[in-house]
Amino acid sequence: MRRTHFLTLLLLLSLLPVSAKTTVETLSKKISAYKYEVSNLFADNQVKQFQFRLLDAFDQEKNSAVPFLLDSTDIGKTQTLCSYIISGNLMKCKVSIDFTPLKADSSYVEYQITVTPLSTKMGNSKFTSGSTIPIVHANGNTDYTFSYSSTEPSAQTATITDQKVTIPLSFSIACTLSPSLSGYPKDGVIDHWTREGTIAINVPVTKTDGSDNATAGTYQANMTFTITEGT
Amino acid sequence: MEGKKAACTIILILFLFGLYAETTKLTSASYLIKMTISGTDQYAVSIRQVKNDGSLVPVEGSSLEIPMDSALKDRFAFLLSCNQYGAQFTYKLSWKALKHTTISGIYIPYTLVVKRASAVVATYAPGNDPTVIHESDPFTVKTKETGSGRTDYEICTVAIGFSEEASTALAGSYADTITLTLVTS
Repeated sequence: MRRTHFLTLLLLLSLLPVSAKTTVETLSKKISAYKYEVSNLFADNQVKQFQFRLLDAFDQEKNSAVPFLLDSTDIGKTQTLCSYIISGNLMKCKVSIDFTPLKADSSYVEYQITVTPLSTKMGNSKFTSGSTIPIVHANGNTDYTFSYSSTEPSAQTATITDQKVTIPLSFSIACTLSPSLSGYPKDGVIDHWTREGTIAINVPVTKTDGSDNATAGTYQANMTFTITEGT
Repeated sequence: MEGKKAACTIILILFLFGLYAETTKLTSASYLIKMTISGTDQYAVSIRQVKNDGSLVPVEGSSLEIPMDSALKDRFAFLLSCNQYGAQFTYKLSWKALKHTTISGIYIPYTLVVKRASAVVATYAPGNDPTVIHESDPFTVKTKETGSGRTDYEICTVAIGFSEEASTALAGSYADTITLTLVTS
């Protein structure tokens, strides 16, 4: 009798996974995050890298193949066009943003761009701007003190008529070790930094020469970011 | 001899690595800004998707995707802009049902609400026949009486809701065309 009960139980248990089996579709989405390597705090052997992201006014990642769309309802307003995020490590960087005229075949619409850089952030919580921390060098017993500071450009506004306008962003990063160590820190920045900013656009009702700016047509302009090493 | 070959290979790899590091110094990205300004005496129509927070996102072309949830909520807006003030236009909307894009005969009816700005103009219950064209009553939009008229516009929002049965509908994508037609101007 006990043997029969045992066999029945075994049979039920063997059926359990089958009866519990349902048609489940698994939806997976790959996510990724980038962490800059800090294998050597003195930045001797890391790879220099930039990363660039552009978000639209709704904080969605902007695909460069999809244009920013404006229409008549945007005339006379100042609104956020996008925000940029530039991150890197080791090296200093400068940014220039080119804006070409908003042109149709033979006419253009005048527009104003305001670029507002935000404060540079350090990715590593050990290195906050203006702070001083002790570091023990792997090759010696000396405690080094690290200090970091950055200066961001102020907001810039440009009016784009029928000529290309470039807005340069010159950031300044200063990084020191105390006591001094010859050759360090390399390129001024040890760990990963992030720079963000916003770009606002305004299409005025009238041009600066007093003529009508809202002339019917379809106009196109290009906004190009160029990021180069240096200051 | 074998040892020499191995040493050469290592040098080559280091060289390529150095080259890669050099190429990371410059980054450039370009984006297009496109602006369309309507004509002088009639409405131009563009479509904007309504986000959950109520903001209107411009849509390129005339196709947009909406999530399949049963809530009756604002999905998209026809943005009617005009360069003439004091003008009046009458439109109507037409639609059928969301039909499965690959399997014929499978469809999801939906409720459609027409709003002018945020005010409800009319609510239309879902139909049972996917071949029948539903039409809204004509509704009127009017530009401002004063001002430059250059930037005058009206927002006609369309809210769509699905019945609870939609959540158990056959998996896949469904599509329908909603048409805005000028009746009189």
